[in-house]
Amino acid sequence: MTTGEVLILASLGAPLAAAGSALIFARMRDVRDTVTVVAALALTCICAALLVVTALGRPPEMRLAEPIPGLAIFFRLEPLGALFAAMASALYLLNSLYSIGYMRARREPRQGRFYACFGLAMCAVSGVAMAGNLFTAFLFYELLTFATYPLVTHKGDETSRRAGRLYVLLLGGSAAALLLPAVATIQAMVGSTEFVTGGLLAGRMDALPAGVLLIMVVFGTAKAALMPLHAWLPGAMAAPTPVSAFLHAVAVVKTGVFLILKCAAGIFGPEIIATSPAAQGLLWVAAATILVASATALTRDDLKERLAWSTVSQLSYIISGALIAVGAGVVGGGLHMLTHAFGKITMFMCVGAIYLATGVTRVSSVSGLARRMPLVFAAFLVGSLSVIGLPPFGGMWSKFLLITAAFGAEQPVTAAAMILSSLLSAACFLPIVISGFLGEPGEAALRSGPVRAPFLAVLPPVVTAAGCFGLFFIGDWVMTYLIPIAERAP
Amino acid sequence: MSPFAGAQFASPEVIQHAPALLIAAPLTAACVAALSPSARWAWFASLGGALVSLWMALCLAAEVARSGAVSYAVGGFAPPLGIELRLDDLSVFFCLLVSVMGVATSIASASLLRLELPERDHSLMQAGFMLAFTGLLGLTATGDAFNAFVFLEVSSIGTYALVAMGASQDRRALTAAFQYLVMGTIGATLFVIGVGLLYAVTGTLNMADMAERLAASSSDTAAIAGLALITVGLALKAAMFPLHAWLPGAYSAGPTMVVAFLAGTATKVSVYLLIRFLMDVAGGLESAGEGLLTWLIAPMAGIAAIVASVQAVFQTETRRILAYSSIAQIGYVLLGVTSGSVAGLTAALFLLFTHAMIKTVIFLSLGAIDHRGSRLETLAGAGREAPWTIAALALAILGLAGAPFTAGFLAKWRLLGALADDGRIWAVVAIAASSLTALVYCGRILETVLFRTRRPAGATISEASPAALAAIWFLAASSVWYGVDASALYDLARQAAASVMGASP
Amino acid sequence: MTLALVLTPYVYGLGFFMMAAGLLIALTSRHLIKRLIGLGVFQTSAGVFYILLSKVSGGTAAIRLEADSPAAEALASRLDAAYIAAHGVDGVVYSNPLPHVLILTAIVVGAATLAVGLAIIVRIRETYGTVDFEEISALEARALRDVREDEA
Repeated sequence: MTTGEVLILASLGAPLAAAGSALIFARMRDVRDTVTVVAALALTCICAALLVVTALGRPPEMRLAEPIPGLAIFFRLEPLGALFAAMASALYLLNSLYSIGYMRARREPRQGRFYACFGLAMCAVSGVAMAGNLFTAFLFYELLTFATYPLVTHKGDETSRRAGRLYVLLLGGSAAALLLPAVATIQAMVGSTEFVTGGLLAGRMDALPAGVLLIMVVFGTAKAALMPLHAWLPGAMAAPTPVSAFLHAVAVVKTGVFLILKCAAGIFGPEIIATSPAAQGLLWVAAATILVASATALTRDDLKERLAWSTVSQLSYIISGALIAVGAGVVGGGLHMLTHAFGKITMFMCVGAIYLATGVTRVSSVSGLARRMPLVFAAFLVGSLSVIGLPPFGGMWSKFLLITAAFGAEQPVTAAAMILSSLLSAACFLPIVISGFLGEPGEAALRSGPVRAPFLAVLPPVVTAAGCFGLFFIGDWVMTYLIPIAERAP
Repeated sequence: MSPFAGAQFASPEVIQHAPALLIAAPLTAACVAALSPSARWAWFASLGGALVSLWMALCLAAEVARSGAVSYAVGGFAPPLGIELRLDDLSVFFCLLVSVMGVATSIASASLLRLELPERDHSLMQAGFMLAFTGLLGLTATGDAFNAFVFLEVSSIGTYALVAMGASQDRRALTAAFQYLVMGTIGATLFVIGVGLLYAVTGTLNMADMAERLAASSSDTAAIAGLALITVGLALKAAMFPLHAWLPGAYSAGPTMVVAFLAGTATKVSVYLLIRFLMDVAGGLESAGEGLLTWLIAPMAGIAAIVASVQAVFQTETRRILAYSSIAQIGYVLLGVTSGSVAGLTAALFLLFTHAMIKTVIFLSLGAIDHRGSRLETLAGAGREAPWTIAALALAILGLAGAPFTAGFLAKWRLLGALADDGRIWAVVAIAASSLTALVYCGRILETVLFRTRRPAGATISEASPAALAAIWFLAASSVWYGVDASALYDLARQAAASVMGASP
Repeated sequence: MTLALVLTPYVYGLGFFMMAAGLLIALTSRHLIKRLIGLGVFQTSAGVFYILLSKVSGGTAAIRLEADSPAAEALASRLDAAYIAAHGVDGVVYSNPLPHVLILTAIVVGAATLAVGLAIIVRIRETYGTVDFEEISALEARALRDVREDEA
């Protein structure tokens, strides 16, 4: 067994082991939480190693099993996948720490199941990130839906159950009704679903059927929350904040856009996308999603819901990147996946910390709160600046790259939507920070309760905020790293 | 490459008579069970009969893998005049299916019966069960068209009585059994008239012989009429839409053990007969077999996949949900059968086997926790009280929904791929729409058993007995295993499909 | 014989009439026993059909006859020699016995089905106090309504 194969197995096994031990030690909370953190730490190291190995030009690959002759569960890393796995594992580690702080402070029930599902979800994310063919990616994509359902319904009340139903129906349903037939069709017609540089279908399929398949893949991947299949994401905010932070800003949604990026680069290829009218239509849908979702975010008073709508909008940036038929689009999409994940998880964790300390969940009640928790609000500010796309934070590079790519590909509608939406984002988030720092102390700020946000709920957002800052300086390096995925067929 | 290639399960003398022993063993067990003094002895008899049949099925699978189709002249009268038992790759596939489900049901039967029926009825139940088992095995093994009718009725009569036995728990079992009897008998009679027409055309009842003579004759109206009658008769037995009305009643009111066995085997074997008659016997008559498949069965199957799934969503009783889901799944299978390619038929057979495992697990575990014709809500919170049983149930439901890493997923994958490859886009759309709906009712069941809390008034639910758990988990684990490495089952299905399609040029 | 020739198509017609009538009764009658009777008629029509199939024109029952026995000679006098040579066995034309045997089996199967059906009807009568299908449906509907009301 080569080093690469060991690393691949370990990156699937570590979170799985975390899940198993979380169930076994469900009632011994210290053991359980320690095991989760250790496993997350190990996973982060493994993924860092994978990142390095891939950067050295020796992408590891592995054939895990062959359920049916000719159809293999097959992994092969490439830069985008390695980056996604590394990002997800690092944020998984931080979020595990955050979860411990949050869940203990809230005295939430069923924490064993909670961490087990988290581990299983992380395993699924690793699987999608490393998948070497669409079949494998689909398997783990579906696993992710089922693994995260119990997390969405964690509270067990009617609201969260209803959200859970919508969640499974939209995510699982679109996958079963659109993505699965598309993938099975590709397998049956081309005889393979492997991701190939320049596109598997390039030159092997006519534009019309390929366009239909593209539509099925993009809408079938409802985790990417393209309208009109976005309703699950605001609904899923019924879950505890660590779930919203990690899954619905990083793991689940990014898995969706990651899969679309991979398919655009490795299955359809730039030629098909450049010529297909389907891609043009999808670009308009994405542009509409960008605008409508950021406008809706403005109207929401609930903090988490506002963040969720903003996520819907930002995800469509990445989808647009995948569908702009120039290399910079895919690279910009990959980079945006990274920078937005850091920015949005920071904001979610801050919102959770505010809720823990003060019980405030609404935009209208944050007035003056920053005086009580300046560090959290500073982190929130950094996160929102990065999401808006202002220097000196990582989000600036990816937005810049995406907007130039859109202009370069003569897609002014997309570019205009992105620019306008950035302004809307600013209007959406900056008032929260301003009213937090400068506003008259409201009822919540004056009622100085004894509860302070636990240390473990404050540290992680500060670290990720620092990450947003750091990404500004390594953005160039990440771009260079990602360029191979945008190569055309040799 | 068959997974049984090179295997040897018994001495040559036993293998020589395996086709007869396959049927004789459960028939004997039925008599022994009927006469046995206690429930325990009846259980041993049924277990013994089922195990011997499984053993013989394995012997035959190995034999067929080694030397092609096995023929056995019953009573020493040589075919085509005498009755022939004939097992080729397709029959062996179904033989294995029936005997595996039979053994699993038999293992779990004792504890399931204890929950539902008074002790004195157990031996008769086991006898009826073995009788139905005999009939189904006979159906898969026989090479004679009229003999097939006899076995069809042997299994059906056993089943009618078994379903009616549910009356001590749910009186609706009586009307359901009566309905089933009327519809089943009509189906069987149509079948026998169809066989008569084919006999009038060909002058033979031996199916292999009949296939040759039909191929030699040009398209004959009487033969087509015969095939049409056979199709309708079997469609009734297979609960093909729109002739499915008897099934939900029988599934929701019969004793659970019976329903588990029926759901796993009875409709499946009717599908086997359909494949046998339309694709093998009528294989030479292209216009007839293909016409019926393309213009009658395929559209009905497509409608079944969608309509039955939607109906399942609106049911309140657990077992009715599952009954409608079975009707939809028969639709999936028939869509695969009618695709006209080896890949499609392979996928259909693969789906049929995995679905049989899944449904047997579901009904056995529902029976083991004593959930009879009741509403889904009474299962709320069952996951906490009977974790092992419910875990198996949940795995099976996930398989039913087509979740990844279960055999149900691979089956659906193959089916969609084969249909798309044959250009049957409408069938792909039908299955896609149906799986979307399946997600709703599967999700409802899962949510209820796993994520709801028990209502205070509800009766407590206790874990299944060790024997029942063993049977349930054996099947549940296999269904997961076949989701990761399905090559053994897939090869069997592919060979079965190839043997049929090879016969029809 | 001439009579039989004239009637043959109508006898098939009779078979189909029985089939249709039996099916109609079995599917639509309110009275459960009548349904079973319809089922019996339907099954019998299959029997009639098989027997008609077996009839070989001018043939006799499939009981072995010596070629020089009076009965065989009487039979032979009604048929021409070429026909007997083409269809006969040892100088005698027999009808096909196989369908008779088959339908004997089918009759046994039918009897078993009727027995099970009647047994179920006895139990239905014990349970519901009626064998009228619509009355049973009404009873069931009322029971279902009661359950719903209890829950509400």
